[in-house]
Amino acid sequence: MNATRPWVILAGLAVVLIPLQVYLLPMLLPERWVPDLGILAVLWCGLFFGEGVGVVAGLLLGLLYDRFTAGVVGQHIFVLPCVGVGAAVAWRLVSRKGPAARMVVVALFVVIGELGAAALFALSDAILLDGWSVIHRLLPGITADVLFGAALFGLADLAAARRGVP
Amino acid sequence: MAPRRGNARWIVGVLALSVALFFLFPKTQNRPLSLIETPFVWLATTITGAVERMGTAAGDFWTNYVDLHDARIEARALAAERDQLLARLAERDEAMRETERLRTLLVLQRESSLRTVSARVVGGDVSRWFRSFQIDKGSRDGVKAGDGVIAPLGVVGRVVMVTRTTAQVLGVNNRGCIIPARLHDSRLAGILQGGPRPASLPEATARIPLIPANLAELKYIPRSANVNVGDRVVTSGLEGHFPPGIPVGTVAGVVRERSEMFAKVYVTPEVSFATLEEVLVVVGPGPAAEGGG
Repeated sequence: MNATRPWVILAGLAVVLIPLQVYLLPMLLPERWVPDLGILAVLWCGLFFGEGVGVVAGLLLGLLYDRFTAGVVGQHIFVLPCVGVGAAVAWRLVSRKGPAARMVVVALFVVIGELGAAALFALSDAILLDGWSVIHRLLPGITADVLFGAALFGLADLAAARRGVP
Repeated sequence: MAPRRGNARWIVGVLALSVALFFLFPKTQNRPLSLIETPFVWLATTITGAVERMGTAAGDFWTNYVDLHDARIEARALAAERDQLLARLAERDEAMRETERLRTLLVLQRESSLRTVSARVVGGDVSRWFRSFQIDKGSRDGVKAGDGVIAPLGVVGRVVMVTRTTAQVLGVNNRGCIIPARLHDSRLAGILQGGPRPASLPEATARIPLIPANLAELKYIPRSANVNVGDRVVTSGLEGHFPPGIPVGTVAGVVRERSEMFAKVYVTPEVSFATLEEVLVVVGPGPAAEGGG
């Protein structure tokens, strides 16, 4: 694999992610069903390019997220690198790699990432993590992320299978 | 054979004469011919009528087909024209609504004793946990972190982050947004904070369902104070970023617990954040109103 390719992809993600997340997706989807592209992008980097790219992606996109959110700065830049590294390590430990295993890892780390960010926001009293917010914000958000992730990673696996990449 | 041929000639001759005479005298025609005339005429009329009807039907069918074909072409053209007109109408309607909104905003800007900058809402928050939005004015236009943001209906929120060309506004329904406010009628002052966890309300006090995502709490209102559902809440002006008397919301529910010193006063913001398009940023005190955009 070309060594510069992950970094080019990461740079591209950093450029398009915020406009997509802040301006485009809220216009296309209901608020609670907007997927968190940041966490999916970090998972992508971690799963396909390893923990090095995963952690850098988490740091870069976490910084951008913290810059463009009204919450207390620091939550995303802490959570996203953890998600990137964690997903990469977990994927390395998976013995029978395949689309299903990848989806399990994605779902697991989406839940960890979303819960982690929410817990940190709640810890800094920026939000109240109560029953209502779990049902109306956290669960739809996780569902949207997992569904969007399934589509995204499924397509990636399909494309890789066509190219003959294991 | 010869006499027979002669007889036959005679017979034919007599018959021909008889027929000729028959036709020469109209009165004699009627009786014998009327027996065969009526069915023949009926038959002829029926056949002629049927043929004529068939011809007419065929002609009508063709004419109808041609008309239908033309009508279909015309209908397609009219549908396309209707779509264009509807689109144009929607554009005009949108432009009218925008003009109306901007006019209201301009009136508010002119009437306000504060220095304000008008801005347009251009985006949301990257995190689903915060109801904040981006506006198209930043430090270049004099916007600073902490500035108050208002709309014709009332208080919107507060600027939390600024770049040169944009700013992030946190709505009053967020937990991080704190605004000094007071009850309009009783003049009791408190602190308004977004994102409360609503306590269970007695039936009589909850006229509307309390949705945490669209709620704020007016804190430090004494338990014994006369606060009722429907009371208006306005800014108190105790802090410089909001002028006094700007509507914030309406009391949606009041909970008085014996163990607590203050009542829980839940307030529904006046402004609908989902439909917000233009706002005014209060950039400082001063009589002159600046046009920003």
